[in-house]
Amino acid sequence: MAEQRCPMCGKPNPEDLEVCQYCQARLKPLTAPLGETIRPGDEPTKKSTAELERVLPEWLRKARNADEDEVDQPPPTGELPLGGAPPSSLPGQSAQPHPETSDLLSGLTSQVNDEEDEIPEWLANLRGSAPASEKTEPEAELPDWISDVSAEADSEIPLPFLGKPEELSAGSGPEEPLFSTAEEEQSDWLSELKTEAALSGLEADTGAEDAAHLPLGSELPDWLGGLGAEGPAAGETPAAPALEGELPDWLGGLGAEGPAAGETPAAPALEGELPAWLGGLGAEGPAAGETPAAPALEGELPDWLGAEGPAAEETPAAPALEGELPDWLGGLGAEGPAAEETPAAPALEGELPDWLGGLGAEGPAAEETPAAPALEGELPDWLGGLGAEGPAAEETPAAPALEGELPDWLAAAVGELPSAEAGSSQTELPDWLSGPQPEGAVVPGDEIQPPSPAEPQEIPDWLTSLPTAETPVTESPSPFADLVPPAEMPPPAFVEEPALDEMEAAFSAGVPDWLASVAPEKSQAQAEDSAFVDEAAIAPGSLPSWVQAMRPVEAVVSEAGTDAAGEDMVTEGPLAGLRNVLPAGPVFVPTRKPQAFGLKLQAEEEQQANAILLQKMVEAESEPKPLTSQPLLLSERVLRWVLSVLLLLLVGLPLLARKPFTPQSSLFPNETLATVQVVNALPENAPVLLVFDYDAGLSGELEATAAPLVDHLMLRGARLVIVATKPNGTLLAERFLARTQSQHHYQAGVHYINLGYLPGGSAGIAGFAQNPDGAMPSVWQGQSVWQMPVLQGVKRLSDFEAVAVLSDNAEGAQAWVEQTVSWLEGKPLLLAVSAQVEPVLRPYVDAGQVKGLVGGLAGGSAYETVNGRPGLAYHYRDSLSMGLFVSVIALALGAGWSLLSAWRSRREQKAFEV
Amino acid sequence: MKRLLATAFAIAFGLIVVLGYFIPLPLFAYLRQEIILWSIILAAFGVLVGVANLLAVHLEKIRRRQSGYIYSLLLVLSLVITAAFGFLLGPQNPGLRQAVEAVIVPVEASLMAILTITLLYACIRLFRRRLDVMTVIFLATAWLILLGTAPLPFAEIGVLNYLLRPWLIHVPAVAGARGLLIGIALGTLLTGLRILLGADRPYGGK
Repeated sequence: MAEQRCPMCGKPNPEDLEVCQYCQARLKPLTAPLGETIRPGDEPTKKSTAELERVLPEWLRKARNADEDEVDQPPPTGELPLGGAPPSSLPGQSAQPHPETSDLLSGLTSQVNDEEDEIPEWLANLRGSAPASEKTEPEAELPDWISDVSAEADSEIPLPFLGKPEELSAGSGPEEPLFSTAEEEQSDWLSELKTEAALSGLEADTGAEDAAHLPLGSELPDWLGGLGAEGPAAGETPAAPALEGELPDWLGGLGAEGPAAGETPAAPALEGELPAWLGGLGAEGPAAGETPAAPALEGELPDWLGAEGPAAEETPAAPALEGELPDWLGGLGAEGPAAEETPAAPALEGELPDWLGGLGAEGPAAEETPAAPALEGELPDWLGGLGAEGPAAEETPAAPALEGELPDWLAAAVGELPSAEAGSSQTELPDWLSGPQPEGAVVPGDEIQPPSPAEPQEIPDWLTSLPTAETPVTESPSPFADLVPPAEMPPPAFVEEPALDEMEAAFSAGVPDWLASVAPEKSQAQAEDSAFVDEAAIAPGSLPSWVQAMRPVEAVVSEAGTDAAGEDMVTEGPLAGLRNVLPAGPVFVPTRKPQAFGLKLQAEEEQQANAILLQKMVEAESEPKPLTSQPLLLSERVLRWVLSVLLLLLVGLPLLARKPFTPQSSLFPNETLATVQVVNALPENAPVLLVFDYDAGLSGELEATAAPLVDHLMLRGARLVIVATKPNGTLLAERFLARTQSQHHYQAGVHYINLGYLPGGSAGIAGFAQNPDGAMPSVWQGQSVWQMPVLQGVKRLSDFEAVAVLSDNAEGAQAWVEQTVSWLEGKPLLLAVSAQVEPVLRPYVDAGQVKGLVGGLAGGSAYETVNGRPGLAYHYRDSLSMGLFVSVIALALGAGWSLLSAWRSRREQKAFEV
Repeated sequence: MKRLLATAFAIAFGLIVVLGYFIPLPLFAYLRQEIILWSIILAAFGVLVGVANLLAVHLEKIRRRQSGYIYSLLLVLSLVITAAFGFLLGPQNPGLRQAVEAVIVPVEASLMAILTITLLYACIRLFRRRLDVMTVIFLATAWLILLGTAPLPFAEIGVLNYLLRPWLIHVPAVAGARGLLIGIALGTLLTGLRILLGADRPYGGK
């Protein structure tokens, strides 16, 4: 199967595919094949207007469909709807308006069914040359506006884009059709153009040999010249006026200018009506001697305009051109050129778009000259001039006429274009007009020769900047220099690529004559040595900044490098002809090999060792450690139990013995002896305050310690007044007396009195010391104790003969000492305390505040020994001794063992640290 | 306002009591005595408030069925019964005395006995925990004192019993005790002054 290459990605695709299977780009253009180029002299290629249906906007399609219903309705007289020219105005036909030409594109509809449906009628009429007879029908369907324009060839048809506003308003109102008939409306603008053309001096600038040619004529592109040539065909003189009478002025002038060879006056007239830029266009085409130039000019025009240029002998080119033009333009081209059309016409039409291809096709046909005038009678002046350019050699005057009516900007552009006589005036079509070139066509390289300025003050810069064949590109800035060639232009954002391709095909289908004359011959040439490559041809300054920014930077592109010389140039796609372009994705090959970097971490041996160590530590953290179960029998518990057993045994067993085995100490403490002396000095039946200030926990020691003292007091007959500074003191006092002093048979209330609990701590002691009966208003059997015989004569603290405090804590004893000494008035204060507080209270003894002190079991034992009355202390002496002995031994052994263990552990720790 | 009144009362009464000691005026003496007697009464009520608070706490614990509320129940019952017997029988009642002798004295005495074992064991393991000069001195002193407190079962160590122990008690111990007592006295004095000046407010407030 044959393959076709995708213009975008360049990959081969099957022939039958319409869309690339790789990049989804359209392989086959909708309108015209990109690869085809229209050359001057080529036969117009037949095209089906149905293809253009898809290109047309929706509103246009609807309009066409609506107008098809009005085919039978003749267009209103004097008004040329925008739809199109009457078919009768088509070349080769009567001037009667065609019922189907109310629509601008009605020719498309007719041409759909037409066998040759290639060039619309109106376009064929524009060309000025009568199309083939079989083409008359479709060609009859010129849009009304064009037919009117042709009819108004002699009238001043204001070009809507060139006339003054007031001139335009006269010609067309809001409700009036845009284009009025030539007879009824002659816009001032077109008259101006005519005037301008006459005054512009284009005639002097053209340098045309034929004085009938306006200077602008040499500058007119072929498509305009062809219009002028089309119109003023010799045999079409009647048609031209007729056509022009129907067409708006601006179109009629074109028709009048072109076709009539005998209307050389018409041509000037037309050109006088047309703006200068259009007049020149007409002047270009119709010169007989310019027929070679016409093809040449057309050869330079873009394809879509080139069809207009060719001379009458280029009739063979007309069919070729028409074949390439869109259908709606093909009719025009088909109408104009006769079979005898010169090859230039077909070639030109091949370059022109369809809508303009008819113009070229119309022009070159000598036998179609009747059609040309007819067409040009319909066409506006500017288009009529184009028709006049092509077909008739004797229509050279039309060119000047046309040129005289062309606007300045166009006249200048046309004037810069190579004249028909020059032949060599291979003005270069601007790139945007030259359209997409076939493969190998050097569109970017085309040098756009600016047209010679006919009227500098009137021709716009963009037109003046058009390069001409005569003038080098660098001489003057081309108005089109800012424009990017179509091949260079980025695709419009709003146009899909297929649509873009279609547009490009549409525009490339035909080039007007005047543009064909502008375009250089080598617009179809290869792009290798194009001027685009040459920086001098297209100066950077001529391009707009935004285009400049889009251009590839040569420095970067060149840095990327090209492997081969031939690979720099892009040969296909929208960037064809560009160099140093970044290739597409699939084709992209990195120019530089990426630098290889090792993934291995560069670490020193020490770092690696530390990393390994850290890793081990981390792993060790996650490793489960076995739980150390504690033994049921611990050394601590064993030791405690052993000590407990020993103490219990050794302390308890001596209690069972009848006789103590512990020897009695021969050394008696002085404080104990002093106590004995104090008690011995008490008078008999003296009131003694006995204070119980101990808890039940140490009651055993205190009972054993205080028993000999109380016994001695009882032996002395003292009246005991018991006061407790603890809540349980009262009960403990009773227990004490009952357990230790039962032999004395002391009775409560008689021998002793228990006043109870004295609250308040130090404050209570102080209060009792200051006012005993006020602090302790006790009642005994309903009687105030202070009235009892036990407390007879006791009102103050100093009334007590002695105060004995039994305490197991230092604070209580201190409080009694501190609070009562000043109130005792020399009365002795005796203390019977636990062995643990004896050292703390000894200063008081040494200070003389305490007269006697009995401390612990040892003191009680000594007091019993001195008093000669054994008691609890005597019985507890063996237990005490054994307890002390075990404690001493345990302490010694334990401390030694602990010391040794500590020393060994330290030694081991030091060894480990070392 | 409340804090201000409390502070004012504390300072006023404190000054009166102090002045009563330094100014031998009968008024101040009388006021002093009265204020002290009032403190005795307040202290007595404080004991009752303490008992009531103890009762309330344990009753709450019993009500919420917290952990160990059984012991709280036993405590409350014991308190109520003992109080009832005391109110009814009097403190000299032999039955009530039996409750004291059979419960209170053995319980507290047992705690003291356990304390003895614990202290002895702690002294034995003292070197394992802390080995320094002070620890050695401490243990040595305790050993000597224990050894010289009473005659040993088999014999009496005269040096210990008649020289070393008496010297340790009468000299180092008394010296330390005196220093301790002086410090306590000074602290007590300073605390009293701070309260009298309003610097310390143990009764609440800033």
